[in-house]
Formats: sequence, C-alpha cells, structure tokens
Amino acid sequence: MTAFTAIDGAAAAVRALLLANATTLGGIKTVKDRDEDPAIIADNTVGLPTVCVIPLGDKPDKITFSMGSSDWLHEFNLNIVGYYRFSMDNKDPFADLATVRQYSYDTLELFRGAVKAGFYSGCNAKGADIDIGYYMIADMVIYRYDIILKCTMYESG
Amino acid sequence: MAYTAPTVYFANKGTLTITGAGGGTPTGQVIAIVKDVEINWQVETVPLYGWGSIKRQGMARHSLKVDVKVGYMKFAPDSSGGSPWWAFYVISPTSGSTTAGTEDTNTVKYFDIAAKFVGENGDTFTGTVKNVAFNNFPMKASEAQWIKVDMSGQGDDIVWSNA
Repeated sequence: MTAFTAIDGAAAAVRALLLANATTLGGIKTVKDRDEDPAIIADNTVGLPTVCVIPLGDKPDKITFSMGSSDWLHEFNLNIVGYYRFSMDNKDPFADLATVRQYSYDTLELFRGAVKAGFYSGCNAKGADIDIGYYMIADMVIYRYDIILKCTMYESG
Repeated sequence: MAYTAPTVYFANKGTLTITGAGGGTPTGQVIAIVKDVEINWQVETVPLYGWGSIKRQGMARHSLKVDVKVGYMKFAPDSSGGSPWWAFYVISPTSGSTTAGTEDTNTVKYFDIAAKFVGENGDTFTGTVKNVAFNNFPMKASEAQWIKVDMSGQGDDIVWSNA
C-alpha cells in the first residue's frame, strides 16, 4: 500500500460510513470527496443536505518514517463537513441550529468505541473537535457543522 | 574489515535482530518499528591512592556489563509456543509459551541482540550484545497512542564489527 492509497482509503471508509447512515443523519443526499471547504456546496438547494469528507482539511499530514521497517506513521485530520438547509422561511433558525448540532454528534457516534474508532485498517480515530455554525447565501440560511476527526495511522509500505 | 574513512550514520538505516544466544531459539527475529536503541558498555573501576601523594597511583576495572534498552512497536505476540514472540522467552525461557503462565524454572533465557547500521558511504557497523538477560517484561498502553514495548536487559559482552 502507498501512503496515498492509505489516506484515500481512510477517507473512503468514512464516506461509506456516512452513506450507510444517511437517513438517520438528516437524510443526507450526497457525500462528497473534497480537498477544501467547497465554494459550491451543491448543484442547487435541493441537493442539500450534503456532507464533504476532506482529508487533511485543516492541517498537514505529519508523517514519521520508521527505524527498521518500511511502515510510516501518519498523524492527520479528516474533516467531516455537513451542510443543511431547514425551514424555507427561516422563522426558527435557532431550533434548526440545535437540529444540526444533533446531527453532528450523531455523526461522531459512528466512531464511538474501540472497534468503531478503528474504522479503517491501520487507522484509528483518537478524538475529535466539533464546530457548529451557520451563514447566509442570498436569503437562505445554510447550517454547517465541521467535525475534525483526529486520526493516527500506521501504514505498511 | 579495516578502517576506511569516517562517514555519518542515520538511525533509521538500521536493523535490529534478536536471536537466542548461541544460535538457539528464537531464530533471528527482526524487530520492526524501532523507536530507540541504547547500548551502554560499562565497567566499574577502583582507583588506588596512598600516602605520600594526592595523585592517583593506579586504576583497575571489574564488573563488566552491557546494558541494552530497546523500544519498538511492531510484534507478533504468538503465545502458543509454535512460533513464539521472542519476548515471551523472558517469561518462559525454554518453550516461549505463555498460555500456561510463567515457566517454573530458575533458568534464564539469554539473547544476542545485533544492531546493524548503514553509513552514508555504504559501510556498515554492527554491535552484537551477547547473552542479554531481561529481568522484566513491561507492557504499557497509553490512551490514544500506539502500544510501544520498552525492554531493558543486560548482556555480558559486546562484539563490534564493520564492513
């Protein structure tokens, strides 16, 4: 396995995990592989909710080569960024904020426990940060959560 | 091999091999994902002082020992005795099997530990610590970290070679 395929495989495993739980996570319509916070989230507003999985989204992959082995240690983050749109009239944005907050924590629940934290061979999630927010596009409120999944991976070269 | 020219040695360009002393079991297990190796040849010395001078009159050495510390992270912990993890011989010196607990014997298992390093000009040098005995078998797992095995032993001599 190469370092690229290892990191890419970990990201693919997270995307598959999200897709398998799309309904309970607010009816996610698409899960995308991205390299940064996307300028265009979806083709149109009915494309929401969508979730982007962004390997190395907020900091570089720190790689340590091994002594006496071709294995490499990777310390990196996978950002799981969800975008939601709720009530069309924006009458109760704060209630919607609580809903998207719940979805973010429900997403993190997918990694609870020793087995689930090891969501990809050689790769383990060892913690996370969650950030919640919203912003306006035209007259629409877009809710956004950013789960920074902190991963450590021993990749066999 | 005769001395050639000085060069520099990078730790990662090394291999660490452990073998039962005298060529016994375990046979040449390469230790992988080595985090650190430390070899410390040492003797104790006795100085001689006497009347008539404040200066040292002589020095004698005794009690040679070679301390070895090895930290590593990749291992195959076969406890059955079929192809045992070398470290299990510390617990059960004759079989390496730990499924029935510690072997009830006073026998000490000795290992030869060879640290081979490759210089930037291609030269190699190897230090083989002979008849290393381990008094303990530590196992520590820290939260959100990969398990690292740190073992400290003591040999009775070291053989240095270069090529």
